Amino acid sequence: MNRRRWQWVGLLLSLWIMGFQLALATERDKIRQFSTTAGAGVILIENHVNPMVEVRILVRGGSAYDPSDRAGVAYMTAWMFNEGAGELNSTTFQERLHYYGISLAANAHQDTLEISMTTLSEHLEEAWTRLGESLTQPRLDPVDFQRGVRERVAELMKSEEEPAFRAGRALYPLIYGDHPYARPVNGNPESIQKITLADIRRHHIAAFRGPGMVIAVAGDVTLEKLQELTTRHLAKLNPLPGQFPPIPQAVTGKKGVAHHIEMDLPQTTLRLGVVGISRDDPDFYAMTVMNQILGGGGLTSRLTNSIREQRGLAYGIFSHFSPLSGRGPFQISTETKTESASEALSLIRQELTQLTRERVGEEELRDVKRYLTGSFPLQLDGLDKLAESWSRIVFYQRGLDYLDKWPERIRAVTQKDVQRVSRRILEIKRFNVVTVGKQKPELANGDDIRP
Amino acid sequence: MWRVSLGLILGIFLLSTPLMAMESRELRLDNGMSVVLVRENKAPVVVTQMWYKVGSMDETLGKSGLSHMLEHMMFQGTKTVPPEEFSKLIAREGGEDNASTSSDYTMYYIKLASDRIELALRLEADRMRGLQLEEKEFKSENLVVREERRVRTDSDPNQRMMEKFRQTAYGDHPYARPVIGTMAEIEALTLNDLKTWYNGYYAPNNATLVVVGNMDLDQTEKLVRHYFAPMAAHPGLTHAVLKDLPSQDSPRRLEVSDKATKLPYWVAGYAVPTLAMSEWMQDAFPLDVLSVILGNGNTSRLHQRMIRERGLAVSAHAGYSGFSRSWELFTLSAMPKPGVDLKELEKALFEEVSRLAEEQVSARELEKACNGLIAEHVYAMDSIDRIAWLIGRMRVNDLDWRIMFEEYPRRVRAVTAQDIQRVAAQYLRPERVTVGILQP
Repeated sequence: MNRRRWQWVGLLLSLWIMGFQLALATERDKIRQFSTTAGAGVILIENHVNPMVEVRILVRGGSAYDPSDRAGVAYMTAWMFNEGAGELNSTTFQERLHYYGISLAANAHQDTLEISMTTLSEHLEEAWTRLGESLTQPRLDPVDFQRGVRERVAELMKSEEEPAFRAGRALYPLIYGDHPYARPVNGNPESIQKITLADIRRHHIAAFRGPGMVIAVAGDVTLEKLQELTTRHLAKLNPLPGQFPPIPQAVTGKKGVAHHIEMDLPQTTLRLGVVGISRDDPDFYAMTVMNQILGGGGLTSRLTNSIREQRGLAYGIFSHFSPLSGRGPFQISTETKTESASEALSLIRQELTQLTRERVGEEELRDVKRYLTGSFPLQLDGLDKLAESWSRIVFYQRGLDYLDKWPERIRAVTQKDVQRVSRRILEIKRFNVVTVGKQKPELANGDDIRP
Repeated sequence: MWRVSLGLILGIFLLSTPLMAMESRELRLDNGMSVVLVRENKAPVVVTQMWYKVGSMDETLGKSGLSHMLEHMMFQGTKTVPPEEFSKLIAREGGEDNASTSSDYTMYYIKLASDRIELALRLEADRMRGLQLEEKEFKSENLVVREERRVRTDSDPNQRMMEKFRQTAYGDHPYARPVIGTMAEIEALTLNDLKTWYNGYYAPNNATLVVVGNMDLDQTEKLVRHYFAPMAAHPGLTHAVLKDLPSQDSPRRLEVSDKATKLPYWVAGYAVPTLAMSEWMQDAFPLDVLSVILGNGNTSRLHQRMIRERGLAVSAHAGYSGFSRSWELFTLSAMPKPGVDLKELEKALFEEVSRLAEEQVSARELEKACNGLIAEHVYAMDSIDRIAWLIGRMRVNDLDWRIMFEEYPRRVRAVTAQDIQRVAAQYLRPERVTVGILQP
């Protein structure tokens, strides 16, 4: 029983947003980059403290590139990634991985397909052999694909039990309309069953190519060894660029919509969302600070103070933004007993209004900036975190000085900046609101539940 | 055992040439407080974990959720730190903090830049004896805990079933009770209950402080002594009496129909010993290895047979922790493929369990399981939080964490196919099982 919930979103975001900055000069001195013959960019963070290596690989080709009637192609392509390659069928392939204690798997996100691999340094050769084969000679056997479809469909059916899942499913189309970010990354039972192995093969070939691929490696391996491994095992990688176009910017400024889903539960799940900002938006740092003030992690945000600490209305309440290639979503989520849903909604609305109307106090701003800058060594204190963060810095072209510059850019955010970005993003009438519970909450003043 | 973490320091010695520069120190203060300091230099960060040996198993009937409620109150103000200030003080210094409660323990952690370690120690010492339990804070925090119960348990048909399953499987053992408490008992808790609990268990002689990270050990020891040595020991600590491994001569069965569920869920549990039970301690390692062979990952027996070969299930796992203060459940869980009869799946699952007692596992399977466990331990050593957790989890059961660290790979490798067959035959018997079924 945790006093606070570790939401995966929160964790991911903290890595993403304030994540990348690590003040370790010693770490940074050891960062080296090179390109493979096929044009993949490799970054090495050498560290010999533990006899292990973490690898993270990012390529364009996430769910935003799924055919519109087959949501889940990228997701299923990722799922098939460790289901056998070359001479080894799925069972033999995975048995080899487990025998050597290697973990190798892929996952789909909205913009990207991402591969993670963890191995002991004594089994680097085995690990890179499996990785190279998976990239260039995947088996994609029908029997494994059919099993994958069965499992994913069952998993999606099971998820329907969760109010948070259902709220998320309803919210994204409200925020994004026809934009590709509206589609669920892991599809739905109907779309998954429409996907064919030919779709998977096509997507795999389109996505896993040298140009644009970012390979971040952290741990117990030297530059020479890594160069040698990539030369031998990634030689067959396609050197021609893929055809994925840039993701269009979602339309902002639409009026929000309210939607209620009836489920027989003791609580109402509230999920609010609007179109946020892209990864390279000039307001990125102001947004980071604003989000931390409003509903960032820890128990110090305004939403937590108002809804949890002052009134005991919820166990957790968070705001989060996901900066992507296109404009990612900005969301607020919480759960509260049925009778309190209206009160919680109106309190959220008050906090949003407050941030747009009044400048944040000097002391509050200073504390939040101290937290954001002071906590960054915590975000990079493991090889997994280092590989993960550097893969994103390079993929999103944040520059190798990103970590150096991050604290000063956060410190440069002013009261005016926070108010500007609040007015830009937190405009009440643009929020979409999804509620899941026994009854649709109403506000005392007769307003619609849209804040 | 803790899949993600056990074992390590020596694991690394055995596995590879370089070793981690982990220097450690163990202290016992005069007031009985146990302290473990481990230096790990990778990042300029340090984590403190304060472990109290008190959890839901120590609670008396009618007072379920008391330990967890107190955990929440530990952030609600002391004589020197006003309510809601605790986390702010830490956040202002770029730190993070949280806590967790289980059947066995309550643990508080603070993670922050190494040069701020004194703040963490000062705050932990302050709330060990100086908590101000006030009605106003308690009222509002009690509402928060009710919401926590609603979100974790009451809104989830699987968790609702699991709560009943634990009651059925654990019977009169205190592990049968929910850690968070029943709703009625959470609502009935009083400030007085909390005061009694706090005064009874929050004392240096019931605490283990673990500090891991980049620090100077002499300096840290000095700070620890400065803040904690002046505190008085509590004379009359009482813990739950540990119950013997139960004998069970017929299977138990729980069937729950819940219209909120979309897909059936099947679970089974067998009472098995843990590391903390000296008489049976030697069985913990074979059980751990057995759980991997049977049901951990895509190449385990359950996955291969139930999902790939026979097409009966969409998921199938086995689980064992081995860390509990008392005996615990070795579990099996599965979700049937839509359309498959649960009876048929259950029969097939039990056939796999019986096979473990009938014939020995292959050398390759055994090696694969051991390699996997040891690799996971090396990976866990990359995280100071996990190192600290492992030490604390051992210490809170009065086990020697050092032996555990140093001997882990050797003990895992020492498990033989005969050992696995023996523990399967001894514990995973048809009459010792409790089955739980959730269906629409």
